[in-house]
Amino acid sequence: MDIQHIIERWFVIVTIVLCLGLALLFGAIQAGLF
Amino acid sequence: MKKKTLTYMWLVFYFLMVFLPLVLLMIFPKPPGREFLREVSVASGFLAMALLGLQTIPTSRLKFFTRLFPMDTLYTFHHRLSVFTLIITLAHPILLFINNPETLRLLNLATAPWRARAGVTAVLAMLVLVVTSIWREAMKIKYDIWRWIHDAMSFGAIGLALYHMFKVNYYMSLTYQRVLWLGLTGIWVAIILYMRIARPIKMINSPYIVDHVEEERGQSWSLYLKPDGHDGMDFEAGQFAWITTESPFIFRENPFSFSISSEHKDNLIGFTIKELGDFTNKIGELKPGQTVYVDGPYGTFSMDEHRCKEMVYIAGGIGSAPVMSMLRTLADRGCEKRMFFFYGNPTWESIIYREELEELEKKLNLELIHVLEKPPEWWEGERGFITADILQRYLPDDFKEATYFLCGPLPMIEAVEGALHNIHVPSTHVFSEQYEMA
Repeated sequence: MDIQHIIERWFVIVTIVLCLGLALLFGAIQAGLF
Repeated sequence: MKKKTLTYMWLVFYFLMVFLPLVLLMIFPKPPGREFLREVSVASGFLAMALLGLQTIPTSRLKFFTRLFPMDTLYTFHHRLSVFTLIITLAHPILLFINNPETLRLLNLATAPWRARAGVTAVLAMLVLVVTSIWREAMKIKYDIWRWIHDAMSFGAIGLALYHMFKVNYYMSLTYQRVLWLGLTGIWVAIILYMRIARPIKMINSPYIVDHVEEERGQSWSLYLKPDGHDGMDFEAGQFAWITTESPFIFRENPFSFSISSEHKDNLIGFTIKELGDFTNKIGELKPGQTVYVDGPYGTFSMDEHRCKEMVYIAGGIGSAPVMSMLRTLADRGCEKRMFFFYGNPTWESIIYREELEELEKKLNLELIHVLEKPPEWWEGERGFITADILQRYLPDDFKEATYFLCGPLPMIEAVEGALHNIHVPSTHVFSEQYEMA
């Protein structure tokens, strides 16, 4: 049950947050903003 | 290896499959950067590709995977992540257009270069894929037609997107990126080949034949099958299998829970199926000796997976099939544990297994509580739907320590999970199986 709840409630959210974060970070690094 | 360790290994593998190509690009030497929005667009494209390919896994029914994760959870995950994959796919061209409106000319498929044609077509395929999946019923698309559309669009989108990536060849000019993407593609292709070729062949090589069919209450049928030329399968009570009477290459199989005891020694397998559509309406017409193909067993909805003190079963209508498998199994094992079965049905006459449940009440330490939506006039039992009040009226004082098995349609599962939450039953004690996956 714990893994069932973790996947259903959090996994998609974590994936979305990481995707957005990494896309912005990659863009910033490549564009020389850092 | 312990199940929990394997589960976490899979979760790490999942994150590696999605994020590794992009993370490596941030660590190792790469071509010179360009404008911020253009690079974010590239990143969203890479992530969309990884997520798109990854979608082959949750619905692949690979045994080493489905043994760890509940099938309905995998389908829910697949549905939600597919919508996000479409959003991030659309973000890829939209950000390019915002960054440089000149690139809008790439939408003209007559004049655009082949890399852009492939990219635009892949996005359109993704759009068709998600729209037809979410609104299939509203668009009145038959299930098996939709399956073909789903396969064609997903394979098309993956192939075209890969072609697009390799032809653009900016970050893909790096050897390690090529190797990585080819490796990922190899995994996806292997899964697709397994699903579409190896598994149907396996099903054809291990056919079953109809032993007999019994009519049940509530427009339901119990279908009993025996292996034809092989040893059959071992399953755990609560699990399910996919069944078809047609060639497994037509991919028109449907999932049904085993309703028979898992302690049966004669290799017979049995399912109880309610008449709800094209295939299920024809179960009663199946004749002994007719060939049926079975793919299974699947599912983690099993009492053997979880050592329990007291067991509380809660089911609605045909959701009683896996519960019946568990009760029959426990009766065969001579189990003396205390158990409760809250069984919701529309009417007294529609209660599947009604007489057999009365017998099981005598054999097991079982308390059976029928809850009827439209009870007859003489009915003195519970009415309406299964609520927290009804549960508390029958459960013992230490009900928070019991293990709960829920099975039925999604609205019922959600309502009962809410009721259990309200009476402070720990969520780790609740296991459910939804009857809405596709």
